[in-house]
Formats: sequence, structure tokens, C-alpha cells
Amino acid sequence: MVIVGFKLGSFIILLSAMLSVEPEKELVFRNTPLDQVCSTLEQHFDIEFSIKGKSLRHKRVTARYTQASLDTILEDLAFVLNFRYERKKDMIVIQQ
Amino acid sequence: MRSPRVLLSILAIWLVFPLTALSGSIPNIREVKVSLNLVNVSLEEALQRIEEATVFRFVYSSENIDKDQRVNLRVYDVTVAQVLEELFRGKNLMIRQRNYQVMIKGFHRAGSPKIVVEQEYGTIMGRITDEQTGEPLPGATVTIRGTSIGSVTNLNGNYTLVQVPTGTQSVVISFLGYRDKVQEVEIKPNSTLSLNAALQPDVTTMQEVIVTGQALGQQAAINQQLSSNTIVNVVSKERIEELPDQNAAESVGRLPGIAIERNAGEGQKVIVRGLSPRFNAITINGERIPSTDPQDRSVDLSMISPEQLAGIEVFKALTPDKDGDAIGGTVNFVVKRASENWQGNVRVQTGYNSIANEWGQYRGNARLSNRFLVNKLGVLVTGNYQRANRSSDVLSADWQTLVERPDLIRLESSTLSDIIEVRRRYGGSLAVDYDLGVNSSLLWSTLWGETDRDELRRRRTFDVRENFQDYGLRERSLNTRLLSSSFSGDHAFSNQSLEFDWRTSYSTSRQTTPFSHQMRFREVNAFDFDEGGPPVGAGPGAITGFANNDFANAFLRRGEIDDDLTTEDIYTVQADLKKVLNFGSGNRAYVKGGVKYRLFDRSKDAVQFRDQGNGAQDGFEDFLEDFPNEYQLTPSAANQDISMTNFLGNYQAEDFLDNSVDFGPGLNEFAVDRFATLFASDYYYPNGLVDNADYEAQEGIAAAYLMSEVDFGKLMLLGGVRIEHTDAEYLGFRTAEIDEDDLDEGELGATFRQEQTSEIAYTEWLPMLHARYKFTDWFDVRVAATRSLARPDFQNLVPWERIEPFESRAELGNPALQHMTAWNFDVFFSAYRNFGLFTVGFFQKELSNIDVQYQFTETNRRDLLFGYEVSQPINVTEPTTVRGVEIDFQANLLALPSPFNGIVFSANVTFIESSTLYPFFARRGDSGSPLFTPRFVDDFRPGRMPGQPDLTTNVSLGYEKGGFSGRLSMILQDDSFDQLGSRPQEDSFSDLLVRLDAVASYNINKQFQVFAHWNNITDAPIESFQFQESFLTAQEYFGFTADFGLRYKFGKE
Repeated sequence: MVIVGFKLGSFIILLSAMLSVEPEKELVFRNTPLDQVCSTLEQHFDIEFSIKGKSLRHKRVTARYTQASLDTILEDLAFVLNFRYERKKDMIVIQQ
Repeated sequence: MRSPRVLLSILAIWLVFPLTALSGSIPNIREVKVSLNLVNVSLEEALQRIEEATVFRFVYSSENIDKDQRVNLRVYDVTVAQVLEELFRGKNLMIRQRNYQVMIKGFHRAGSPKIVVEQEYGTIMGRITDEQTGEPLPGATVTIRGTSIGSVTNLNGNYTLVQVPTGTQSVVISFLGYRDKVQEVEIKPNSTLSLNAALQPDVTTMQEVIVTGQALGQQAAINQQLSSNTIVNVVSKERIEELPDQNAAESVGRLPGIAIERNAGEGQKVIVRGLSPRFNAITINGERIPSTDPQDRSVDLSMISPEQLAGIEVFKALTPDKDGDAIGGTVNFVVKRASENWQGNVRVQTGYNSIANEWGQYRGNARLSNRFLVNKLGVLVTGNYQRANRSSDVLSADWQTLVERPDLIRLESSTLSDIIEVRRRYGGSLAVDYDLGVNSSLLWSTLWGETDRDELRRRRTFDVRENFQDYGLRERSLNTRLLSSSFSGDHAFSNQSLEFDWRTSYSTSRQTTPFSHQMRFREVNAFDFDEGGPPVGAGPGAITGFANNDFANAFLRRGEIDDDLTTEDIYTVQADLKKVLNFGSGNRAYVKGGVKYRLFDRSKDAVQFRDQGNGAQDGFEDFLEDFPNEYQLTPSAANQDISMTNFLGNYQAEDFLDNSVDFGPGLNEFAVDRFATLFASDYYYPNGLVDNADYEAQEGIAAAYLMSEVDFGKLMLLGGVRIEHTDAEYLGFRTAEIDEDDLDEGELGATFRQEQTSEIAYTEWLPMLHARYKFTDWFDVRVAATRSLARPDFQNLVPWERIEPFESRAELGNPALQHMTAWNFDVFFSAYRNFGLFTVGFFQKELSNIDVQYQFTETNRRDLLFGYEVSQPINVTEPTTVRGVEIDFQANLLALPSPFNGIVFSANVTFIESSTLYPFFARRGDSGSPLFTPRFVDDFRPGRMPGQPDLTTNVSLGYEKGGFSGRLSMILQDDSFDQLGSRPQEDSFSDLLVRLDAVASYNINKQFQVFAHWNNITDAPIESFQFQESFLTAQEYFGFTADFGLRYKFGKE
């Protein structure tokens, strides 16, 4: 009973957390290092990032998105910063 | 052509500057314009200012862009792309737009700095079907909303959209008569999205309507016709499958502007816009089919089984990517693609033929298809068999005109022919396609068709001028075989903007008449003119009743055996490359080019054995010794010949010509066959004069083309040029009879025979320009100016000569014969509303160098053939014009309340006029003074193109309700001109033909259907005449046919 209640509770918390994310929220990056960009995206899309390579981590980027899928944003950044990325379960791995 | 230069220069401009200043509606940095005044601001700020002024958002990294660089810029109304180029002048940059994002990055490269503005694209492909029936919808348009990027589904319902800008796009799918469907999709760079869609009929009534059979067939044809960028008429799959005509030629013949050439009532060849079959190209999946005719370049369409077809297209205006030798039009048969599960169709039928009074018209067709290896490998196999009695009764006549009395036309002879003919057709096809993955596939397609025509012809000729009667019997089996195999591949490359297609094919046709044999007997003094004879002015039918019919004294005049073999092989290789270009986001263009090589290898070998033309005197004595008592002689002791009584049987032609004349007793085919089999090899001799028609021909045609199409939305332009180089070699024979006086005792009649060869080579440029303008979404006009060519028939080009010194006659080929060229102009209006489709088309063709057969008397004393009657094909130097109007109406009555919504109506009418000049040569009296040198007239006479009717009309009324479907169709072909004489009195014509056909079917359930045909309901004869309709030259009855059958089908396509 307790276990069921716990699961239900965490589900409700998760659900409200997801709903609390402003869907129309604009993502703005102004000369932001890539590692910060990734942590913003981690929150926004509920996914983990792993950046391989120090120099890549500190590359700065400027961009603005209103409505865009994660894939679109990643593809754009990959083009501008010349990196490759790979989706592994709940983790996105970025490397030079 | 009055202004080819004007057209050529338009074309040149067209090809050099295909695309400038295109406008579109989705935002693109190359289109959206801004005005800026930047004074000493940072690059970062400059970009922000552009973001404020437009919808674009920049994505860049300070790694390769110096955001703090100060810039000054003052621009008024220039595109964002130009602004960026100005801001980053002197740097190596790559700019890419996706949706609203504009990505900017630097890159390292040698050489002068460069800014590359690029866009990413993806591909969409899929299949459009009817929601209820699952049938593919060919001719449906698939477009990206707000752009002119679009594509049209092919006959199998498949489409591909290439170079679609990445991001979110709205795909609009529409099929006239159905509700549009809009689908939002996300396009990823360099990837292919699969998008299938099922559409619903757009019907205002509340009831659920399932569009099937005739209505769907009509709708599909309308859609294909309208969505094409050229001028095309279509016979849809449903038309072919659900309520079929007897064969493919009949189906094509119901389209506007098309007339049918029939043989014993069966449609075989098509005349497109008044131009005879040899001017038209017949293709399967775009591959040329070899000619099935021993004489000319035409193809018998009844050889093609409809079971394997996804549709038939008739292109009336040529595009540069098609073979240039199609002045009339191109008839293309499209082969079905294998279905995605087991699917099959079996049809069996039997019927009755009224003229033979015979049941026994059998026909069976079967088709089976499926896809294997996860739908990668598709296999479609078909087979067919048909036995049809195509017997006919024919009355024909020859009329004589006199130079002195041109107004007087007298009957010379009349002929009765009783023809019993059974046609058997066998055929099959195998199509295997393999999907190589994204945007790449292979197809191997093989088709086999064979026709056996067993014909037994009994004939009586009554000659009142020379007073004799001839009796004849000919037994002939004509076998025609067609085999065509092609292997092709379609590939799309890299970022999908490049398409590469290749094809190889081998086709062969063969026509033989093994052991065709005939005997002819003659009765002299067949009419008693002393006792009056036939009354003056008696018609061709009437005189046959006045002959003496003295069979015992009719003697063997000639026996013959013919063995002809004509073969044609075509080898083809071709490759096409197409590049889709983007100029601005909305508008679309492509450039396409290709090369093709075709090799025709054709040969004819005719062998004839006959007696010496001295009746049974040839080898007569040996003959009687070998077979004593077998053959009785004619009673006349002075001139003893084999009598016809030996060959008379008890054959009686029933209801000959509807009992209007009595055919009398006919010869016995077994007696004739026995004579030919036993004696012919010993007593008949090879006839060298026949061999001279033998030939070998090799024609190599190398072609290349370049074309471009731009779609501005309302306006579509397509232009290009094709170049065809023909290199040919012909081998023929010069033959002459040798005087028998020069022969040794016992030596047989001989001929002089000499091989002759000729070579020709020529190159033709064929520019073509098409345009389509959409006034509204339901009304458009298409115009086209194209140049095409036609090559003369092989027999006419071959250097052959047949010289008959005893008769002072010669027949010659003409190796110097020129090919024909034509300028074709088309204006075609189409209007589609809820009432249906209404089209009006005007066309004009200006042909140069058409070839005609010329008969003349050689008047040059130095010529070897001085004084001979010579027949030779020549070119007419004066231009020939063919012009006409086609009006077509296809009514869509689905919107009407029941039961009227079951009506499917279509009608078309075509008016054509043509004018050409025919050469003629005639003797017109003499010098009038001693020596009486004959005077000749060598002149031209204006006339129509042969086989061109002034008026052709098709009306078809169909009805379908529940499982019932029926259609009544009428064809009206006005009289057409056949052959020109030296005077109007000698001109011959085909008479008006009105023909009615009916077909009905009933679907018992989803699997079973019963159906019935009733063809040539009124038993309309085919008639021809000379000068006026009262001078009948031929009247052919072939009866009506009725058949019924059962169809079983399973599986969905």
C-alpha cells in the first residue's frame, strides 16, 4: 500500500513538474559556453548531457529558440560548433 | 516553320538564364528584405537589429565570429542574405537557414574569402490511395504549402518530393473529386520521410459514396491529365480492369483525337491526330516496342495484354526526354508494380461470333503478384490466352476510268472473298522489382506476346472487261511474336537533389508465314456477251450472278507457296540525370539531361515458290506419270490443263454478305493442301523476283538532350533541345527477269540478282518549348511548340530494284529518301469544375519531306528504264499541314442525388483537316500528228493525308449502381482519304463508320464478378469507295460478337 502510494505520489510530482515547464518559454543563449547551454537544455528537455573534450565545453554560442525540438537545436549547434552527437538511452553524448 | 529562329532564340535564353527573380511566401533570407542604418555598432548588435526587423534568429559561436567587431552599414531594401554578405565581407563563412534559425559559422579554406549561403533539404515519399477501396490514386498532387514544391503520383499511386526545406512543413495532398488532406511533417536534413495518405471522395450528399469502377476510372484519368505538365490523355487502370474493352487499341481509340485502324473488325493500330500509325511511337514503360508489321514501322497494339497494365498514356506534345520520332504522338503502356501482399486476378470468358455462327471465342487471363523480403522484392506475373474467330465476307470492285472520258467510270471487275480466320493469342509477362533502400530501385520487366492467324480465303473474281472468272483458295498461317525485356534502375543521390536513371533493353519481333499456299483457276469467256451478258450499269454484286460457272473448263492458272520472315531487334541503352534546383524557397526548377543509343536491326527474307505462270503445263507430264488417275484434265483437247473439278468440294458459304449474293461452291482446302504438299516441291520453282524484296537494315540512333522546367506557381515553363543522330546501313537486291529465249533447253526461268548497299547519316536538332498557365485553380492553358521527326519505312529506304522487262515495269526503293521533320504547335485549354472536365485543344503540324509512292513512266531516253512504268517512293518537297480541334467533355455526376449519381458520361469530337501535295504522272493523249508521241503530265495534286478522317466522335454513356456497371459506347469515324489517283475520279476513300459496343458487369461479391460484351452491335460493314460513294470498292462484313465471362480476384493492391 505504501509502495503504491509512493509511486503514485512521485508520478504526480513528476507530472506537475512537467506541466510546470512553460511550453512557450523562449530559450535564449547569449555568448553562452556550451556546458551552460547543455545544462539549460537538460532542464528544459529532461535529459542528460555528456560533453567530451574541454575545448568544446568552453566554446561560446549565441542562439534564440521559441518553439523547437531538441533535435533541431542540437543539429543547429552541431553545425555551428562542428561537433557530433549521439543519443544513448537518456543521455546525449557530444564530442568533437 | 516560319519562325524557328525566334523559337530557337527563346530556347537559348531559356536554357542560359533559366531562373532569376523567383518569388515565394515562406520567409527566406534570400527573399526577405530589410533597411538598416548601422553606425559603428558591434557585429553582435548588428545581428540583433536584423532579428528585430525580421523573423529570423541567428545562431553563431564567438569561436569563429568576432562579435565585437565594429561595423558600419547603410542599406535600403536589400535581402538579409545580402546584408550578411556585406557584414562578413572578406571572411570565409557558411550560412545555413533552417526554419527561422540562421546559422553562421566560419571555415578554413584556401583562396579568396567566400560566403556560402546554404539550405538543408529532405525528401518525402509515399503512396496516395482511396480510403474505402485502397486503390491507388494516380495523378494526385502532393505539394508543400506556401511553395511551388510539388509532385504528382504515378500510375501506381506513388510520389516523391525532393529538395524539401528542412523544418516543419505542411503537405497538401489533393485529388480532384476528393477532399484535400493537409499533413504537418518535420523534415530532417538529408533524410527521407515516408508519408502515405488515404483520401475520401468529396461528395455533397449525406450518403457515403464509394467511388469505384467507371467513376474512379474517369476521375483518375482527369487527375492525371490535369496534373501533367504536358498534353496527355490517359486510359486509367480502372478503365482497363473493371470494364474492359476488347483490347488496348480499342481503349486508346476512345480518347479524343484518335482514330483506329481495324483488321477484320479488331482494333489494331492507332492514328493520332490524323497521322497514320507509322508516325507514332509505341512504348512500354518508355521503352520502344519493335514494329510488328512486315512493311512499315507500326505496332499492333492487340499484342499487348491489358492484365499487366497500370494505365495507358498518350502524349500529344513531345518533351526532349522522349524519342523524337513521334510526330503524331507517343502511346506509353505503364506496367503495374507488384502489390504488397498476395494479389491475383483470373478472368475467363467465352462467346459467339455471328458471321461464323460459332460459339468458341475463348479467352483467359491471369495475374498474380506479391512482395517478398520485407517488401523489397516485388514479383508480378501474368498470362493470357485468346481464341477468336475473326471471319469476314468481303465484296470488292475495280473501276475503270478512261482518259478520253474522265467523267465515265465503268465497272471492270468485282471480287467476292469468303475469309475464315481464327486468331489465337498467347502471352505473358514477368516484372520483378527490387527496392535497394532509400530512393533507389531496380526493375526487370519482360513481356511476351504471340499471335497466330490461321486464315482460309476463298475468292472469286469476275472480270467483265477481259471476260473471265478466277477462282482461288489461299491457306495462310501468320505468326507474329513479340518479346521485350528491359532492365532499369532509378537512383536518387546525396542530398536528394540529384536523380539518376538508367535503362537497357532488348526487344525483338518476328513475323512469319510458313507454308502459305494458294491455287488459282481461270474460266475464260465467263460471260456470254453475245447473249447480252450482265446488264449495262449492273453493280459489283449484281454482275456475279451472270457468270457461266463452267467449272470443268476452269484450269489451273497458278500455284504459289510463300514463306516470309521479317525480324526486328532493338537494343537500347540510356541514362538520364536530373538536378533539382532551388531559387528562393518557394519556386522550383530542375535541369535534366540524358543520352540514349538505339540500334534497330531489321531483316526481311521472302521466299516464293510458284509454277512458271504457264498453268499446269509446267512440268506437267512428269507430274501425271507420277500420279496417274489423280487429276482430271479440262475437256478441251487443244489446251489440256488440270481442271478445277478436282478441287471442288461441297463447301458452301452461308449467308454470304447477308445473302445479297450467292458465293457458290468453294474450293476444297484439303485438296489444295494435298496438291501443295505433294507436288509443290517438285513442280514449283523459286521465284527470284520475290527475293528482291529481301533486305537487311541497321539503324543506329544516338540521342542527347538537355531540358529545364521551372514552376512559378501559376506559370510553368519547360524547354529544352534534343539532338538525334541517325547512322544507317541498308542492304537490298537488284533483280531482273532474264528472257527465257536466252536460257538453255530444260533450264528454268531465271533472274539476275545483285546485292546493293547504301548508307545514310543525318543529325536533327529538335527544340521544344512548353508552358502551362493556371488562370485559376480550375482553369488552365497549355501551349507547346515542338519539333519531331519520322523515318521512312525500311522497305522504302532499301536500295532494291525489281525489274520486269517483259512487262516494262519496275519497282524501286529509294536510298536517297529523306526523313520527315515536323513543327508541332499546340494550345490546350482545360476547365475542371464540379460538373467534370472540359477541354478544347487546337493543334497544327507542319511536316516537311513526307514520302509518298510515285508512279511514273520513265521518259528519259538515256535511262536504262526508258519507257518503263516505274513505282518509287519520293519526298514531297512542298510542306504538308495537319491542323485540328479536339473537344472533350467528361461529366462527373457524383454530386447528383441517387440514382442519377451512377451516370458516367463522356464525349469527344475531333475535327481535322490536312493538306499535302501528291505527285502524279499520267498520259494525256498524244502529239496528235504522225509519230503520235505520247504526252505526259507530271504534276502535283492537293489532297488529304491518308487515313485521316475529317471528323471523329466518341460518345460513351455508363451507369453503375450497387454491383452493376454498364457502358454503351459509340464511335463515329467520317470518311477518310486512302489513295490519290491522277484525277478525282481515281481517288479512293474509306467510308463513314459508325460502331456501337456495349459492356456490362455485376459484382456478386468482392471476389467474383460476371461480365458480358456485345461488340459491333449493328454489324456495321467497313466500306471504301472510289470518287463517290456509289462506286463501292470494298465492303467488309465481320458480324457482331457477344461474350460473357467470370472474374475472380483476391487481395488488395
